[in-house]
Amino acid sequence: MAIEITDDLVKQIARLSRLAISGEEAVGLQSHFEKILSFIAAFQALDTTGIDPSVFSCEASNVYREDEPRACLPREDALANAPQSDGTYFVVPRIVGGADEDDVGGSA
Amino acid sequence: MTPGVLEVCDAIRSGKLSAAESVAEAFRQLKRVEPALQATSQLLEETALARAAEIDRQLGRGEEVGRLAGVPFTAKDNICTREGTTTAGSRILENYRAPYDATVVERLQKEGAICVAKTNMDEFGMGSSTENSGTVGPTKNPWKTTHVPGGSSGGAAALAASTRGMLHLGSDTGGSIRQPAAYCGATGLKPTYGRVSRYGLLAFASSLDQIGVLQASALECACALSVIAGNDPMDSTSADEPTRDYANEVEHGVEGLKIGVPHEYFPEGIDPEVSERAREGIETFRKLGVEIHEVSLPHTPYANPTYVLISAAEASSNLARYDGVHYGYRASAPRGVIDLYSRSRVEGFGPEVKRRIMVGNFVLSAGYYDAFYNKACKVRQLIRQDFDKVFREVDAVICPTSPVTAFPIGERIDDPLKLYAVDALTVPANLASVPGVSFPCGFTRDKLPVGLQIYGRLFEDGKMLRLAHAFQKATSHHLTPPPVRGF
Repeated sequence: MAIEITDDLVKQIARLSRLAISGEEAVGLQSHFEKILSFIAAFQALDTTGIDPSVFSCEASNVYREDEPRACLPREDALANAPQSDGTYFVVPRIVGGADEDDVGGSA
Repeated sequence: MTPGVLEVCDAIRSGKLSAAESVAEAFRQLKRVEPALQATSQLLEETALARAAEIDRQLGRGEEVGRLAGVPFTAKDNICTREGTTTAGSRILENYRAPYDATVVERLQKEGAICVAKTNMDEFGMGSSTENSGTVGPTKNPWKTTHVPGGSSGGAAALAASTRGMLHLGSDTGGSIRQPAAYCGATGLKPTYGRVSRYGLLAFASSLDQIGVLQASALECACALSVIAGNDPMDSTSADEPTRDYANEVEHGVEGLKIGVPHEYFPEGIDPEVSERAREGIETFRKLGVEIHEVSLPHTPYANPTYVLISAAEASSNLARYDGVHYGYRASAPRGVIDLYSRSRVEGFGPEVKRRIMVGNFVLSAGYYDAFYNKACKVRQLIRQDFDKVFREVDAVICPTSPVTAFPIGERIDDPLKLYAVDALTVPANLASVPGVSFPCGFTRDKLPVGLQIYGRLFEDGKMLRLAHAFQKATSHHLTPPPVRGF
């Protein structure tokens, strides 16, 4: 499939990836995407008609366990690595009514 | 001669060596090689010495202390340890302190082993040279310090070659244990997918990641595998297959076993010296009474593009958790929550990690999913079928580990595709979930080690190690010491 890697496409992917890339980085990524596409072009021509995609690494079967309560991470341990917390919750900038409310859902 | 892991075990159990002495010797060696190699991200001296003293007290009271009492071990920096930090070589996790031990760490500690250091790596395992470490800088090869040790478990590989009497935990997503083992002249084991729990391994590509070890010999790898293998309720992809006493199993003979040589693993462009040493290695097996068969794994040339695509797709999803909220780096003065995510990630991740996240999100996005991700999963199936077919005829497959030997620092880092090329012969094992082991089979004229690799059937890790061990009993390449060493 022929795809043109435009500046807009790179920026759209960066937005989906939640990466605030600079203009300079976008240029480098554009040429990287082109190289990657030519690298993976090799298998595009391979006939895979009737082949089931292999998604799992092993004979996948559901693993069941009893739904019993177990000890979990104490709150202070869970918060210990937080960049910002109030001792009970992780603290983040305002979401509802915040700077980017419209973008929070993010669509593909 | 400086004792290896098995000798250390025996000496401690028989009272000839204390755990404190064993740990002190480990730090003596680590400190001797560190200025030249930059292989560790931190030494855990205080906690290790305290643990050793405790084990010595238990030994003194005649208590049961475990199979690896007093044996020092290192953990790659993407394996969670309560002690010290766990950074995965990334600025985004620079100060992260794991609130729990990975299952492998827990299992080693339960048998009395002592964590002495965390080892350097390419950021999140993304790299083949350990030049992509965002926290420590590049690790050097103990055979030639102007050259890379391979990667991403480059720190562990450099130490496996340049020190003795320790275990080194690594992880392998596309060759990250086997390729650095080959470049450093060490023995590197990637077990069958699911053989060893991944609980506490910071995920890169979950369907490909596997924890294993890098050692001086296949026997040491077998000894470590006996302890770390087995089902774990905390990792639902860990297999329910019975484990074995691998250290005992490797002593069984190899006469009459059949190994296949796939011609696709001697591709155009392979370093002629790598090819020659590998062929000589295969001859050694013939002399040991192993039957050698020519086989074909026809989809091998497609493995690397398939790997690049699938691993990026999984990474883009796995690394979504690094958002500056729960742990890790947070950008200053965020204007809103999206700005917080987007700037924390762009400032915290290194260039290669950002490239892979972007490629992954691209191949998974609407409109491209079928053409890329789904297609790659189908090619992966063809690669698996190649192995299924060959393993009906032979017990194992043998091939060079990497098409080249260790290369100069800086030579490939600016061209990701040139760097990806060195993984061409290791990625198939991860795509097919089969076990692989790399071990030294000789040297180039420039005195750089060449790695030979054996692939085994699913869950026949023991038989595969048996072949590697038989080779090492008949040869001495793995005993040749590198110029930079602590023993």
